Amino acid sequence: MKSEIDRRRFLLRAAGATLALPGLSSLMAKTADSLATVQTTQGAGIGAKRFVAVGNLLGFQQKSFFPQITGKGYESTTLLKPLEAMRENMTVYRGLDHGLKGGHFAVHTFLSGVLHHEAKNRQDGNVTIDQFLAEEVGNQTRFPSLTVGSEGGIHGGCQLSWTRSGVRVPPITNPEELFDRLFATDSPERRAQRGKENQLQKSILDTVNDEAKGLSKKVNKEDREKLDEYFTSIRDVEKQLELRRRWADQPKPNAPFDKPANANTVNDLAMLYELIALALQTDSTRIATLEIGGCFLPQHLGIDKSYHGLSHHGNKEDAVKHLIALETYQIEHFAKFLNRLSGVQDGDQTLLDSTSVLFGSGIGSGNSHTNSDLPIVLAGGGYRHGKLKKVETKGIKKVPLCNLYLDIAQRMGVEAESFGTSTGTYS
Amino acid sequence: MGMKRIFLVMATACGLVGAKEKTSKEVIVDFLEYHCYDCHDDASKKGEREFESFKLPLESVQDLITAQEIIDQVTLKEMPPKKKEQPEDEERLAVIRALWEEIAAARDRFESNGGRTVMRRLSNREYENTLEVLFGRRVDTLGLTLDFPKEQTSRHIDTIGESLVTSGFLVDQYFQSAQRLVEHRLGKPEMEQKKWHFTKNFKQYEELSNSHRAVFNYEFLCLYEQPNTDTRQGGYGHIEDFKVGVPVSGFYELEVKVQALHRDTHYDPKIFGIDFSEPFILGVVPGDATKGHIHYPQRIEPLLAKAVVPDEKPEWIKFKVWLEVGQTPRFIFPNGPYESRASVITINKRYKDEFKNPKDGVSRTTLLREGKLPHIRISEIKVEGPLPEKGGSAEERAVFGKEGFQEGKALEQLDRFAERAFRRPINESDRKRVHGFYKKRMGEGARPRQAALDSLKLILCSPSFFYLSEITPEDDPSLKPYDLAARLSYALWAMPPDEILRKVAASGRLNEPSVLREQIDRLLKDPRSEGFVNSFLDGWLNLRDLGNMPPPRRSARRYYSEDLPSSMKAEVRMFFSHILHGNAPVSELLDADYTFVDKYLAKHYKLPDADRLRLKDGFQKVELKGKRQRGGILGMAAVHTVSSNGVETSPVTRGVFVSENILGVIPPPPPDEVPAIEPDVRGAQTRREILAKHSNSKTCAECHRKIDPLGFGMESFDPIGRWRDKYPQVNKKTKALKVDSSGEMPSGEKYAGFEELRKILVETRTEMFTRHLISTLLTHATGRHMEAVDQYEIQDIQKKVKEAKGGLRTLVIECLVSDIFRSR
Repeated sequence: MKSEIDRRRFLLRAAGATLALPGLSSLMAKTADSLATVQTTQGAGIGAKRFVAVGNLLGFQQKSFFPQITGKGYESTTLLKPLEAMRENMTVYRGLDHGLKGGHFAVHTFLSGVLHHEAKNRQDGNVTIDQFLAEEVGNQTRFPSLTVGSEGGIHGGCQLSWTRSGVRVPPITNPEELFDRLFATDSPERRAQRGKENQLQKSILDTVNDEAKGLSKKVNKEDREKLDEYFTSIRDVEKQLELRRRWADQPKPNAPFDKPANANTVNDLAMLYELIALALQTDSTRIATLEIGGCFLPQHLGIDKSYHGLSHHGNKEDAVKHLIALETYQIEHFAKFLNRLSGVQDGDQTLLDSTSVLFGSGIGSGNSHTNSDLPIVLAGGGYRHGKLKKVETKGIKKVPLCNLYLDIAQRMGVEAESFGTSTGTYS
Repeated sequence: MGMKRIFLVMATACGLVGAKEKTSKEVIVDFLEYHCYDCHDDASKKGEREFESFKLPLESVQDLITAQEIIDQVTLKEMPPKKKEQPEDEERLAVIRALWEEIAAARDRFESNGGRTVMRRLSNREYENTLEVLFGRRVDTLGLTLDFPKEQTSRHIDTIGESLVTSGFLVDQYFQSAQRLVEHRLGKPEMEQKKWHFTKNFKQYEELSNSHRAVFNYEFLCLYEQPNTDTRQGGYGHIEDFKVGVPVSGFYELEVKVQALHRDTHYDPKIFGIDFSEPFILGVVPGDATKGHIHYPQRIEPLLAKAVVPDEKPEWIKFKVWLEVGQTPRFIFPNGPYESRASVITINKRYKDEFKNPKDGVSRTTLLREGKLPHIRISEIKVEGPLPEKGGSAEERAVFGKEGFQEGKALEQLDRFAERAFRRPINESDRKRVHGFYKKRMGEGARPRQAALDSLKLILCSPSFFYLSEITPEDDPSLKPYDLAARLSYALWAMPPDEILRKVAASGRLNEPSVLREQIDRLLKDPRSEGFVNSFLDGWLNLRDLGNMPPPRRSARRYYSEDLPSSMKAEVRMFFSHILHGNAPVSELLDADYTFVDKYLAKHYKLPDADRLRLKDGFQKVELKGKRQRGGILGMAAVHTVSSNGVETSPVTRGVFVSENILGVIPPPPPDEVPAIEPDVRGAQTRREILAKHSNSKTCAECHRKIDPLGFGMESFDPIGRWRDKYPQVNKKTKALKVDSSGEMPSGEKYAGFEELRKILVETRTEMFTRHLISTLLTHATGRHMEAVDQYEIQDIQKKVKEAKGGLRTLVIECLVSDIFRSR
C-alpha cells in the first residue's frame, strides 16, 4: 500500500501542477511504474499514441483563418491568434481536401473522404479515421473510442464518425452523460448483475441470429441486404459485449470533480474538452472525436442570428464579424485543450506529444458551401511542427487529405497501406 | 438551330392543314419541338433536361417520369419560361391531355414491376407504442428509446424501410430496453404498501438555500418559476428525505398540502411574464437523483399529474402517479413566472422603498419575509404505495393473461405473447426457439418465472418483433391477411393490431373489400386513430422538428413561458382530425374559416377569443372573423415556425416548404458554389430586395422564380407565426422595414398578400395538392416512396374521391383499399 501511495506522489510530482487530480485512477497511478503488470495486459497508456479529431459544421472564415506566408514565419491571423502560444506544437495546412462536392451533404466526409451513399461500393465503406484507428488500437482501453458532440444540425449535422458498416456512431451529446461513462462506478452487486445481463444478452443474440438465418432463406435481394445489415449489427454487439466483459471488473478512474450539470453546447464546450482530456489522461480511451454541430447556437454567445444563416454571409461586414466571434470562441477552447494536454506529463513527453489532434471542418467556405480547401490544423502527436504547409490544390501534385490521415495512422503503429482516398502519406 | 426551327414550324403548319386530327403522339412531339427544344435539346440540356431522347409510346420509367414532369411544368405554367413565346391555353390543355393519354396507354407496361416495400423495422415511435400495447401501460416513464440512435427520416417521414437502418448500437439498445422494461414491470419483488410523511427538511436549489433556511427553516417547499428556464431557480421541488425514490415500480398516492401565494401581487405582472388571471397549476414529474441534477430538467420527465392550486388557504390535493423504481416525485409549476432570478432582481430594485432593509441584487430573503412574490408553497407531503391493482398488475395480465404467470402453462403463455409480439401465428421454428430458450434458462438454474421473463426479452429482441416481417410469400403480389392487418394498424394507429383485427385476419377474410373497408372504418373511428393523425402530420409537415430551432428567449418570451410549440402542434392536429372525421373537402386543409385554439394560441393570433377563453377550456373551434389569414394550414403558426430557423424567415425556405409539402414538387438543390441569399444584417434592405438582385442572375432565377413566389406571401408571418407588417429593427439606428408580401406566380397570377396567394393555391393547385396528399399518405402507410409507376393508381384514387364527391376521409379510405397499400 505504501508503495502505491509513493507511486502516486511520483506521478503527481512528475505531472506538475496541471495534473491536479486527487484520486486519479489507480490504473494511471499504477502505470507510472513501468513494472506494473497492468501495463502489459490492459495497456497502461504511458506514451501510447492517441488521436483526437474536432470538426465543426460550418467551417471557418478562410480569409481570417489562413495566413499568406508559408513556412515557419507564417503570420498570425485573426482566427489563429488564440493558437499563437501553441505555434511550435502545431501545423496549419492549406489546400487539403477530399475533392468532393455537396455542401452540407458532404460535411460528413471530413474524416473519411467518402460520401455515405457511395460507401456500399467500397470495401471499407465510409469508415472514418477515428473508427479505423479504434479498430486497431481500441481494444487496449475501456472505450475503443469516444464520440462526443452535437447529434444534429442542418442536413443531418457534422456526422463526424462512421463505422466500416456505414453506420453513424451516435455521439455522446452532453457533459453529464460523458462524465457518467468515464467515472460512474456501479456497486459490486450491480456489476455482478451486469455480468449476468451480458451473458443473457449473448445467449439471446445467438438465438436471434439463428432466427434471422432462417428468414434470410425466404427473402428477396433487397430484404437480404436489410438482413445483412442486421447480421453485421449482431456481430458488432458481440464485440461490444466482449469488451464489456473484459472491462467489467476493472475499476473506473475516480472522478476529479462532481458531476457537471448540462447547460448548452456553447457553454458546455469547455467541459466537453476537459472530459475528453481526462479520458485520454486516465487512458479510458485513446481515440476521441468532438463535433460542433447544430446544438452550437449563437444566441448563447449573445448573437441573435442563425449560425447557418450567417454562414452565407455574402461578405457582409456584420455577418462576418459575428462568424468570427463564433469561430474564435471555438478556436479559443481548442487552444485551451491543447494547452491542457501539453501540461500533462506522459512518461518522458507530454500528453500532447503522444496525441495527434486534428482540428477543422468538412466545409471549406461557408459562404458558398464548398468542400474544398478545408481548414486543417494538426497539433501534437510527435510531429515536427511550427509551419504553414501549403499544397497544390489542382493537378497531379494535389494531395488528398486522406494522405495525412494515413500518415497519422501509420505513426500510431497501424499497418495500413491506404485509407479512404489516399494515394500515399503526407504530413 | 435556326434551320431546325424553320423546318419544325413548317411541319407543324402542314400538320394543321391536314384533315385528320392529330394523334396524341403528334400533339406532344409538335409541342416539344416548337416550345421546348430550344433549350432542352441534346446539346443545351438546360436544367439538365433534354427531350430529344424522350420517346413515344412511353417505354422506360425515365420517359414516364419525364412525361409527368412536363405535365407539371406546363400545368403550373412554369414552362415555357415567360420570356419565351407562350402557348395558348388550349394548346397547353391539348398537350397535357395527350400526355395523360400516353401515360394511360403505357399503364400495362409498368404495372407489373411496381414498387415494393423493403423489409422495414419499427420506427422508434412505433416501437414504444407497441411495447405500451403489449405491456398494457405507459412506458414513457422508462425512456426506453432515449439512447437509441437518432432516427433517420426520409423527406421527414419516419417509416421508410430504406432509411430505417439497423445498427449494432440499436441492436444493443433493443436488449437494454427489453431488460429494463421486463425487469421493472414484471421482475419486481412483492412489496408491502408503505406510507411516508414529510413535513420538514424541504431543501431547495443551492442558490435558494440561505433564504429558505433563514426564513422558513426549510419547512416549506416552494416553486418560483416554470421548469426549464435558463437560470434555474426553483423550477423543480423535490423531497430531500425521499431522494432514494420509491422501492418498486408502481402506482403511488401523493397527498400534498399546498397553497398558491400572492397571485394577486401588486408587482408589475410584466416582471413575471405570465397571466395572473389563471389559477396556479401544480404538476408532478418523476426525477432520479442518481441520473442527473434533481433541480434540473431530466431526460425522463413525462407529466404524471397536475391540479389547480387553491389561493385562499393551504389544502390537501391528491394525485395518483406511476413511478418507476428509484424515481422520486418532483413538483413543477408549469404556468409559473418566467425566470425567477431576473424577477427577484427587478423587484428588489423597483420596489426598494417597500422593504425595511432593502438590498441590491438577488435578495430572496427580504422578499420572502416582507414581499409579495407569487409562488406555490407546499407544507406537507404524504406518499403511499405501491397501491394494489385489482386482478394483478396491468403488465401481468397483458403479458401472461388473466390468471397471471402460471408455471405449468409457461410455454403456452409465451407462445401467446410471441403471437401478439410477432403480429402473426407462430410456427414450429418460433416455438422451438422460444421453448428451447426457456428450457435452457431453467437448465442454467433460473426459476421458472425468471426463465419466462428472460424468454420475453428474447421475443422483444427477435427480428420477427422489430421487423414488420411480412410472411406473404415472395411471389404473391398482395399482402396476406396478417401482414395486411399489421400494415393497417400501424398506418392508422401506429400500433399493432388489436384483438378484433387479429381475429379478422385469422378468419382469412381481411382481403375481401367489404371486410377491409369495415375494418378501416372501425380503426378510423377509434380514438387511437390519433396515432395516424399525429405521425402523419409529423412527417408530412415535419411537425416532428417543431421546436428544434427555438427563437431567442428575449424576443419571444411567451414561446417559452406558454410552451407555444405544444399548442401550435395541437392546432394542426385538431384541424386535420376535424376535416378527416367530418369528411370535409381536401381544399379545406388549405383554406377554412375556422380553426382550433386554446387561450395561448388565441393570444398569439390576437383573436378576440383570447379574452373569452380560459386555460381550462383547452382547445376550441373558433370562427375566424376578421382574421381570415389563420384559416388553413399555411396560416398556422406551426407551419411558420417549422419553416423558419427561429431567428429570421426566408421566402426561399418557406417557398421550398410549400413547394415540397403542398404541391409535391421538390426543387433541385442549389448548384455547388452558388452563394445562398441571406438577409442584410445592416438592415438597409429587406431580404426580398436582396433576392431581387439575385434573380437577375439567370442560373439563380431559373429555380427561384418558381420557389420564391410561394414564400413571399408568407413573409407577413414572423419566425414563430406572429402576424407582422414590419420587420424588426436591426438596431436602434435603423428603421424597421415594411413587409412586402406580394408576389407573382411563374404562371403569371399576381397576388397582393398571403390571403390572395392562398386563394391562387386553392383555385388552381388543389388537384396537385390532392395528388401530393395521396402520395404522401401512401408513402407514410406503406413505408416506401411512391415511384413513377405508382402515379397510375394515385390518379385512380384521385378520380374515385372526386367522383364520390368525397373529402379527406374518403381519400384516406381509398388509399388504404388501393393495390399500392395492399401490395408488398
